[in-house]
Amino acid sequence: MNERMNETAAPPQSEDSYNFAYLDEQTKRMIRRALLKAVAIPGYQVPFSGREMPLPYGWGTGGIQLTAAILGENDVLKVIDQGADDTTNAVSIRRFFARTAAIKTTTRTQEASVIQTRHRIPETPLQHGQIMVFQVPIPEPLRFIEPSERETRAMHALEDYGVMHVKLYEDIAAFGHIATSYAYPVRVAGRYIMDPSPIPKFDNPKLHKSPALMLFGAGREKRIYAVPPYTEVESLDFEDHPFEIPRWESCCALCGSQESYLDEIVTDDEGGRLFLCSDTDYCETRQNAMNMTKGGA
Amino acid sequence: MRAQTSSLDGTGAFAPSGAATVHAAFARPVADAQQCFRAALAALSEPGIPALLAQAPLHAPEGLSPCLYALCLSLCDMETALWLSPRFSHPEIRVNLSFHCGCRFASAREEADFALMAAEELEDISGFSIGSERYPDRSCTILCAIPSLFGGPRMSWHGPGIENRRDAQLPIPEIFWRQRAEKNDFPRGIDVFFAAEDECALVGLPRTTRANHRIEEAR
Repeated sequence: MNERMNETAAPPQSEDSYNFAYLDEQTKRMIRRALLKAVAIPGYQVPFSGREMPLPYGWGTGGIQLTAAILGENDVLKVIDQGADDTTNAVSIRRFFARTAAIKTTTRTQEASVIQTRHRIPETPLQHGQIMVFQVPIPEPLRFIEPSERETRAMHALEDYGVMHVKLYEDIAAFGHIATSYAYPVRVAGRYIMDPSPIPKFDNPKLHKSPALMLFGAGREKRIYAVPPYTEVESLDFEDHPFEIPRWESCCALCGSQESYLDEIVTDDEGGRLFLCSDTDYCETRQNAMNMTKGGA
Repeated sequence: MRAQTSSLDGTGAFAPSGAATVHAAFARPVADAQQCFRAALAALSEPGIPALLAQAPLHAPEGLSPCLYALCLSLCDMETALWLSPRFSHPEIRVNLSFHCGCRFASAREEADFALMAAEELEDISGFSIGSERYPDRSCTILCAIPSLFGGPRMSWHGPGIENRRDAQLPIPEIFWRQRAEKNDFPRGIDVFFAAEDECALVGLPRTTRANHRIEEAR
């Protein structure tokens, strides 16, 4: 929250010595062409010649390249890390684009035209025309089962996905339920199996027929994939073990939400804990609304 | 990029050799190419909804609509091979695209990453690559000039990017739809951008879109 106040007080200086949004035009065109193919083949991982970015792999180099390729002067950018606008990764990427592209940034989900995210989809429903950019560490959902890229590519080509269900079945055999809780595999438009990035499976239903365009970028693995708006995204499951999203017994300690994804915070050494919304913008909006009603009464 | 354009702005145009003339392209190359790409991205992610181009190039070569020219400028470069149909294969278009994009021109359809065609030439889309089972992205994208985005037979589109069904009325040859259905074998297939000549707008037709005639539907 402090960071937000700082930003309104003194917006970061824009850097004229870089091309707009840091990347050179030729790189942007290459990424743009890959993006168009990704949209045309939903869920398929398009290889691209990812560039070295001024931050380490694992910090969102894939997402940042996608954002740089799509961003325009009139875009309003929101960046979240695990749902929060005020964490290191989110703050530095937001400032990076404020400086290299001199664009407007926001923390409000409704005001953003482009939302770059690490591991969450905002609780506020996305709107038509918005673009989500996901940072992806390992784009290949079959990688933990089959280490060879050559083999996984053949498996995708042949739609040979039985092994993915075997993995979920092994969960049931060992734990009695599907224990996979994040990076939960989905099938896109009835064809490709896709890793929705390490979002909690709580967020998987938000991908299904979303009005927003979803773009995924993996910088180290150099892959781009996409889910167009209103596309069927089905979480893999079994008839007798249907896909379920987690529920909490408690609600958010700050805003009282019972619908949102909660983070558990340990407060002391005596087992004290509380639960908070992981989506900071959603939580603050609700807190402000509560304060307004209190103030009015 | 900027330096090239401003030197052109000063003189308006110059002729490197003989008849074909190089003209100024985008007024603001970085911003205009980005806007054009976003229109293309919107058009392809929501097939059938016309995406408007805010900024057309300053001067399109003779025979090329501003909208189609903008697509070429924002997507083609030295990494891509562009195939020109007979209607577009003339010196002024070649000289301007070589100068501004630096793209190679494909002599055979099989080599093309992009193909520039007119609507009436869609009668034959044989030869263009549809990619492989392992790399379906290595396929050709057709950039098609179309007189208008409306006025053709009423069709109903559905597939990814379309909420339920979407009406489209592209005035293109009937045989194209049959050829496309025979050629496409998802995930392999051809993607098409239709760029209007009467307005600066485009419609995307990715390989995933299923198109039916309205009459067939009523049956």
